[in-house]
Amino acid sequence: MSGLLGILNLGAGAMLAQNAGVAVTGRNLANIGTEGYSRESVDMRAQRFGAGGGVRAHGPLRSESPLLSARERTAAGSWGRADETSAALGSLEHALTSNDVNGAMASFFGAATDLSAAPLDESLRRALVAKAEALTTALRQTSESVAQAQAEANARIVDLSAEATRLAERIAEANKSLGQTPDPVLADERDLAAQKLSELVGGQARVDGDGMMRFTTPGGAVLVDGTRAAKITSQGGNVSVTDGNHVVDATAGLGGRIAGQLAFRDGPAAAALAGLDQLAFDMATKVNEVHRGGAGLDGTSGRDLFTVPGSAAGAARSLGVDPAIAADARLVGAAGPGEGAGGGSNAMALAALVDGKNAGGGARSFLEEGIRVVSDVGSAAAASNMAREHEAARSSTLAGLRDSLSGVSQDEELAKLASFQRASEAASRFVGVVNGLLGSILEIV
Amino acid sequence: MRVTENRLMNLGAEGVGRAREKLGQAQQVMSSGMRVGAPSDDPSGWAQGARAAAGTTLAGAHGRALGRARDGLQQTDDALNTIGDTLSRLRETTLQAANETLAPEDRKRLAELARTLGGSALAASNTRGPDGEYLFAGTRGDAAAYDPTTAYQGDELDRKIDLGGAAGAVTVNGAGLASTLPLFERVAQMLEANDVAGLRDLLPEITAAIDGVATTRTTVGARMEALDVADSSRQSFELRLAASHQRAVEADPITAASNLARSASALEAARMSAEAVLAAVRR
Repeated sequence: MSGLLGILNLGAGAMLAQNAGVAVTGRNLANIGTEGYSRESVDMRAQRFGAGGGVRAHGPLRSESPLLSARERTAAGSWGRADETSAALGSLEHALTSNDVNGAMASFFGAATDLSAAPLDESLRRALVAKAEALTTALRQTSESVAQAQAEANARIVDLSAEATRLAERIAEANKSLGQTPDPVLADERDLAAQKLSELVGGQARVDGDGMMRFTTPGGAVLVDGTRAAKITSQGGNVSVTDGNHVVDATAGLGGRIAGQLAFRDGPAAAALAGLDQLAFDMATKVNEVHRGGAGLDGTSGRDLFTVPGSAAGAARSLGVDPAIAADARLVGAAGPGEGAGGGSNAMALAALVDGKNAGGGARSFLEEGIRVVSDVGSAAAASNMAREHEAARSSTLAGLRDSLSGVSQDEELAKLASFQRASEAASRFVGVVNGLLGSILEIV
Repeated sequence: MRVTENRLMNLGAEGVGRAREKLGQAQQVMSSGMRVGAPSDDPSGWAQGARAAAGTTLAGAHGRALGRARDGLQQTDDALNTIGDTLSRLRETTLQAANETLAPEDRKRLAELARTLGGSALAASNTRGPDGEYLFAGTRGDAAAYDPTTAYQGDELDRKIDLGGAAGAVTVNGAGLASTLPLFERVAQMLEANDVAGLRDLLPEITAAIDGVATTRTTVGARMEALDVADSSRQSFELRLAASHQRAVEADPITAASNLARSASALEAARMSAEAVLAAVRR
């Protein structure tokens, strides 16, 4: 009698186990499109005869690979950095080309050539002044656009830092919950948060023996340690990691999107701004030097054509045309020493400056220097775009590997569902048969 | 490798997205005619194109300067032609007056003609260019080259412009004509004074003045020739710049059309592939 009752229990256990399988399969199917979800499976374990035989369902188990997750986080950091740099450089490239400083510079020196042939033509004098003003405007607007791009990078770093702090807090909260109850859904969420945090700051996460995730930046700053999350803040252009009273300057030791913005701000954007300033300063200084030697229609010489600041810093933004000349183009010093008002040798000397190696420390002409400033950014943008494509391909490959391991396959799950259903039906039938036997025995008794 | 339906659909969508992006790029190249739209498309090509564009702007300005100088020299030559003509007529008048048979009253009438010719020569010597500049005043073109007494007011400098690497003179100052214009008044006075011998003595000076004007015109011609050579060289340079710009940044229409067709086919194939995956998943 107890034997049949034990067999009845075996059948009931089998039904419970298969139903657990149905439930897990149903959850897998329900989460087929959920970001970061790792498919689950039921761990069916056969029971020893001594323990009643049959089967018991354990789990559910997550399909995961710590090694693959680590590779994904590394790739996320590289992708974030490449994507951020590529987008920022694209904007900078647009800022540098939209005002066409080189075109304005060529037009200005061309106007000096025009004037050299007819120095008494006041319309040509006005044209030269207009081209000089257009050149200062192009330099100023371009410089402001680059400075704006740097300001946007700073603002973006602040936003990304705040987002990184939120993600670190989320990981710490998940650590806390997972320390109390193992939950595959929470583990998925923590993995996803860690991957997103990697995308923002680079770095790596590892799950210790106690099940807690620890997240560190590439420079070694700890962002998450167990249930504690550090705060990432950006102030004065630097990024700090604050854990309690302990503040670490993490600017140099970050990866991901924040590092992409930092590298952009302090690299190509800063170089472009400095290049524009130096070009504006060199060009205006040299033009003034020559212009001072020329006389205007009033016969006086020694005037500057451009108002130039004392040093190159900020020159592109503050460069202007001398107000007296802007108001009266007759003052443009076209005539050379000893010439009458109709002399044009100084205008010719001004025009000839375009060919001299007067920029880039005497290595290049003004135009070549202007082209170098833009094409350096173009080269950086091209390299960054290639890096972005490379990282996108790497991420796609890893996503494929992750999908291969953790992704939910509808076909598979439906097959499993049918299998669990059949097994559950069989168990049910088995229980019916045992129940029938028990009935017969009870009738006999 | 295990591949899920999600992965298949994602791959299909990525493929269609990539193909669409390529098609967009090909269409952009085809419609704009530009292979390089931004420096990052081809940094060295962009730099070459920017150099060519700036060079074209400068060459255009150089061409305008050469054109202005040529116009000025042409006007100078026309003025010299007028001065030469008046001098020739002065010489004829002087020859006629040097004939002993002419009555003193006739010589007085010829004196009037000589002064009229002198006025024409003075007006031609004070010819102004299109921008109002006195062409024979050297670099002092803002004032008349000769005052009413025919005294020269300009300087002995000629304006120079860049003729393609070297500066060349593109004006002719009137200092050389300074002794020519007074001849008209001297002839008129001798005619009024009925000074036949003096008139005969003046003939070699008039002939020398005519030769001087002819020599000056030769100088003008040589300078115009130099301008033409410089302009021809500039035009060739501009053509080379245009070719360089074309090579660097412009799209070859056949290649662009071929890329567009290929990109369209690739998009179609990617779509078909994605649809096949969708159909397989739906089954």
